[in-house]
Amino acid sequence: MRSAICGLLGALVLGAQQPAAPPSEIQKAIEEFKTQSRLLGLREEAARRRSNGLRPKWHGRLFENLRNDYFDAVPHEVRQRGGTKSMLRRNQFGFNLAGPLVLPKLYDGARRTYFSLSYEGMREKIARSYLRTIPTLAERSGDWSETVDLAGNPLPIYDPLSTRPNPAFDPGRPVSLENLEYLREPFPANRLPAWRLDPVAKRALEYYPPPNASVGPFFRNNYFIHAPETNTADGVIGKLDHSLRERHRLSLNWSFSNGLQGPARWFPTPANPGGPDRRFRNRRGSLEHVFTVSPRTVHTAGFAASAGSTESGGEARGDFASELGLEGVGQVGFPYFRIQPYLSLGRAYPVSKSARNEFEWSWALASKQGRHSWRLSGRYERSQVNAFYPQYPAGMFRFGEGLTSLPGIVNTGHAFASFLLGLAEYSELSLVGSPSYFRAGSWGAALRHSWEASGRLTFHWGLSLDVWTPRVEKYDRQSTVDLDALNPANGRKGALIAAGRDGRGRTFQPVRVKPEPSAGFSWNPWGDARTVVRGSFARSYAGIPIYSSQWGTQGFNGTPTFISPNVQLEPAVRLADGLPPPARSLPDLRPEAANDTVADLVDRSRLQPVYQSASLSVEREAPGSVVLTIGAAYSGGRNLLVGNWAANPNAIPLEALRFRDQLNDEQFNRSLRPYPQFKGFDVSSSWPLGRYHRDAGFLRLEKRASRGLTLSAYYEFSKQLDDYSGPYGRQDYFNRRNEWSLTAYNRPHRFSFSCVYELPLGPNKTLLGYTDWRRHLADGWSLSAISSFTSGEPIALRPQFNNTGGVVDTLNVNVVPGVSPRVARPGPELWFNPEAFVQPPDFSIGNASRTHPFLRNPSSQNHDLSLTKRFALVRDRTLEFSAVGLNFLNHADWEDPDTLIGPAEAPNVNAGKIIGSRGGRIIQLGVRFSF
Amino acid sequence: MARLVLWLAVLAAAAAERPKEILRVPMWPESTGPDGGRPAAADLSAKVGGAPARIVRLLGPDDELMLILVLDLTEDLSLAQLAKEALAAELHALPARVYVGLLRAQDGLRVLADPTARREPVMEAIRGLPVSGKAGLLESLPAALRLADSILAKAAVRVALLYVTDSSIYNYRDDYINPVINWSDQHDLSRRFPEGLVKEKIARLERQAAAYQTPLFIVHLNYRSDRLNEAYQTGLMQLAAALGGGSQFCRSRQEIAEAVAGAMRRVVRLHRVDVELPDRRVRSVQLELESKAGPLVYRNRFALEPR
Repeated sequence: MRSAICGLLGALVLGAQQPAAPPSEIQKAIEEFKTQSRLLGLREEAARRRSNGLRPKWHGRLFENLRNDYFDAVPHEVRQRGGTKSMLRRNQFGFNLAGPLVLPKLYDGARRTYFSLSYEGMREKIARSYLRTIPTLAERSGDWSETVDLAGNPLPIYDPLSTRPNPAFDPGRPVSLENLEYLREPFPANRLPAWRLDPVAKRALEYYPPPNASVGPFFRNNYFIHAPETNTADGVIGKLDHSLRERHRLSLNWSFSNGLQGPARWFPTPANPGGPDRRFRNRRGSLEHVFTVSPRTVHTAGFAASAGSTESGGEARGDFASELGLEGVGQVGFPYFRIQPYLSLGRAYPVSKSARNEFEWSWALASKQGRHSWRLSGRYERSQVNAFYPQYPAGMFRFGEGLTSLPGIVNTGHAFASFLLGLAEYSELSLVGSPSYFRAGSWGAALRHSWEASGRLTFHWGLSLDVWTPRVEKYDRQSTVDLDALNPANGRKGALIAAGRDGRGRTFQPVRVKPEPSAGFSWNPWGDARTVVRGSFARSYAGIPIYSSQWGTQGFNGTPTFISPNVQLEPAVRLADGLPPPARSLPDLRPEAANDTVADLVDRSRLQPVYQSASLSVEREAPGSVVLTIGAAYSGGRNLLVGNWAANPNAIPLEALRFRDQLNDEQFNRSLRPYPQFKGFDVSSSWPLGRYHRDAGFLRLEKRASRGLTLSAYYEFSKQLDDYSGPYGRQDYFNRRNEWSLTAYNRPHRFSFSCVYELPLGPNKTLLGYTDWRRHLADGWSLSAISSFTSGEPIALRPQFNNTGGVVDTLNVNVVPGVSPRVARPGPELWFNPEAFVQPPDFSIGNASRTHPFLRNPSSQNHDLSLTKRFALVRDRTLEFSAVGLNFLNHADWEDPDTLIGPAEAPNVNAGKIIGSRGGRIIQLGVRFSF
Repeated sequence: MARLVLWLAVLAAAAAERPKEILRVPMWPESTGPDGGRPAAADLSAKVGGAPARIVRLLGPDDELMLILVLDLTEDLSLAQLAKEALAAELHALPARVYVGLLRAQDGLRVLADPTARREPVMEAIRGLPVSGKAGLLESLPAALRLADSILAKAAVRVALLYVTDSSIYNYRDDYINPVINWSDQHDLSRRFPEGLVKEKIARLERQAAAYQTPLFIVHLNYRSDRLNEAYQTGLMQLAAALGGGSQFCRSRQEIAEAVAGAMRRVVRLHRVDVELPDRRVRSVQLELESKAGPLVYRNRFALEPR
């Protein structure tokens, strides 16, 4: 026993004296892991100390992008007009700086607080071009002897002072050259005597530039606008990200941007009908808190606020009405003279200002339990829109051909001749005393659930409940026409009402509460993970937006309106006389205060735009990182918000066309309307009447390669129909089925292709693997390209004349039976056969659809290319040069054909033809230094 | 003159004694036979830049492996949970000679569990990892590679780096998306090709990564099809390929388990071939490996850091 104990002790002693066994390789590896992770500051204890390992440093970039017409191709449309240059000067510059927030001796946010700050500035002058028509110099002097109609026939101008009833008129027969209701003499030699020209019109003519082109046909397309836009912008985006212990995170984002958009001046005079200069100021900030309750539960709360303002028309201030001698109008901006088909003098909204503030609180709780994932969220939004938007502060005067025509006979007279005589058929003035302060809100709650039914099948569904509170005005300066209130002026329904008065609430619209369901699935059929079938369905509602206009404030703001008793016989106003002073001071909230105006009408129903969509797709991953997706989608909507072009609650039924020329009598015409006390209604793109349906099939191919290549190709075939989209409006307000046709912007074929390729050049690459100085030239090249091909939009034909006595606002053409609208070789000389269509007879509607079922405008294509070269500099810095070629093939797309269809006896000789093409290569050079 | 000769002699001796540089090459036999087409060291031959090079060590699936697992889960709880479950299943199935160390990448690289052959501590750390924060793959990769390469250099074990991520390029603290700052600027062409910043970052990382020798594997849980994320995901693929590893992108939840399992299978079958560089001056290495046992898949390009 003793010996055993001694032996054991001896062994222990001897063992203790032997050198320790060397650590195994894996032990060495573990020790190295611990040591290095400590040195690199990857361990909690190391992170708490100041670590000098791989502590993040500040980094960022500086950049400059340059564009100059020196690099560009001359645009086709400019070259076709004889130009050799299209001005372009553009500099875009900025920086980004990011990294841990460190304030020396104050704060060290090495791991916890991270910031990013970006600035971008832009200075630009870029030429724009448009081809339009303005009066010829001869026409301006009253000489119409050379003027012809669209068929090339002389266009007679009649003297309105010579108008007299035709004693031989037979009321039982339609008005025609053989049966005139009124007799009127043409001006001798088709010349307006100088003494007959209106003095205000004569002075206004000085603001028209002379014609500078003769594209034709005849004297049309005689003014080529080629002028620069001037734009500037400066903006900053800042982000701050802070971790509060392990489970809380705060993100603060803020941004601001100031800009000026100075569109091209169409006229070098204050009567410029082009867009006004607009100054923008946008501010946005958001704060988000994320609390990780547990690894399976995350709570998020956020607040965002934005403020944007726009000020327009600073360049157009001035009392031009006094200069013109035009009385009774405001003294801000140039009066607006609408003289179709010529460019107008002046414009609507010459001076305006608006501000929009949005506030949003949001909250969400997401959790995953077993096979179920849940997300419960809520939000509240508050919108404020402050608007000062006088539409016609210096008056609007609309001129038509009627007063210089032979009454009842189309293709006689001219709007510009009526203008020269100072005879406006319609006039309106905006009296805006104060801005409007609109407020609205919405809130919602949503629950989303996802259930992994099996390893191959997942279902998800969601339900949102959204509540929209309608628009109110801060000072209750809101009004509308109540279609049920009695109007004391005529005892008919329809009278002006104001919000917050006479026991009414502060708003005209109901609170809307809508549930929005959604559902979907993803399924790997036959247990094959490479194939995914996805399906989805969703239904959603949209709120009624608050536009930046002062629509719905009539009575608080005035719209004195002057309407011709008969647009062929008597003017609404004479320019020389000006407008009479307002009969009443504002506010004028009498029930009849909106009578004889185009009254603002707010929809008070519960209808709300609703959208529905469903899709099914199959995605298959093929060898070589190729993914092919094929799918089909449906979407549809109803109660979509439409404007005055598609909704007219005061429309006259089409049966009234039987009254023919009698409809030109304003009093008779109005008597046929449901609300005869009003000239019309302005529904301001807020009338819930539109409907659409879209079916599409698509094919997508994606290819990725580890050598830095991404290819993607997408083709879609779609068909979209609706009953409201433009481009000109609805013919039949009463039968929406008649308006069901191809959507004006439906392009059935779309193909796009894009690629990003890191060229395999340089060290460690397949080609040119130099390791000497040449590696700097070979390495770092990459190429990106985007190409797109789209078919044209459906052609929308319109007749040259609309002689329907104001019953039909937008007239369709008639189809000529048996004549094909197609041509053998569509080209600029003839894109479609105009002989297949004809102007409908007077006082009848056209039988063609709003948009043609198969004729389309020319297709378009675009190819953009970007080439970049990176130079790797010391200490992980990079210098990158880039050249971007927009439309680098310098491809020109044809303009759309002329779709104006004249009467059979005087057809538009230009119908079906295309004038020129557009487009040109633009090059942008850039340099970026990253550190 | 004598002094110069002496100096030259000393320098020559020092150069002669300096150990040759070793290239640690990740390699897989292409064959998937019963023994996996497993080659022996004697079966292998190597050439560097066309010149024969000595193979000093071959470690295969029977040797110890250190798997550095980095989780970068910031977005979708359900996807992250599926990935965690898949990882749990795969970790339990790993051979005992595989040691797993766990880190998280979101908001900066951080160690969650030291390497161990015991699965439970790692599983515990994975289960406890919150799905939150900002994506961190791109920022954390250099540090993770540095950590892995130092182990590779220090110990004769196989080392692999595996990222499991659901990151979107939009969820990084750094700006790779070049957001619009001036909304009133209507003629901005600089964002027509928005992937420029992503590509630049990937190129920088690829340049850095070329100097590291640990194979990188990436399992991305949520494939996205927008242009920026496509560029990002292609970049991840590029990085993994450049480092001799591989990447998998899941288009549906059902693919996650298979993607994780696939990556683990590849990691477990990893071989490490240590090749002695014949010429120390070469910084850009073109490697050829051949085996009598059959074709091999291996990383064939390295850019060594200048000494």
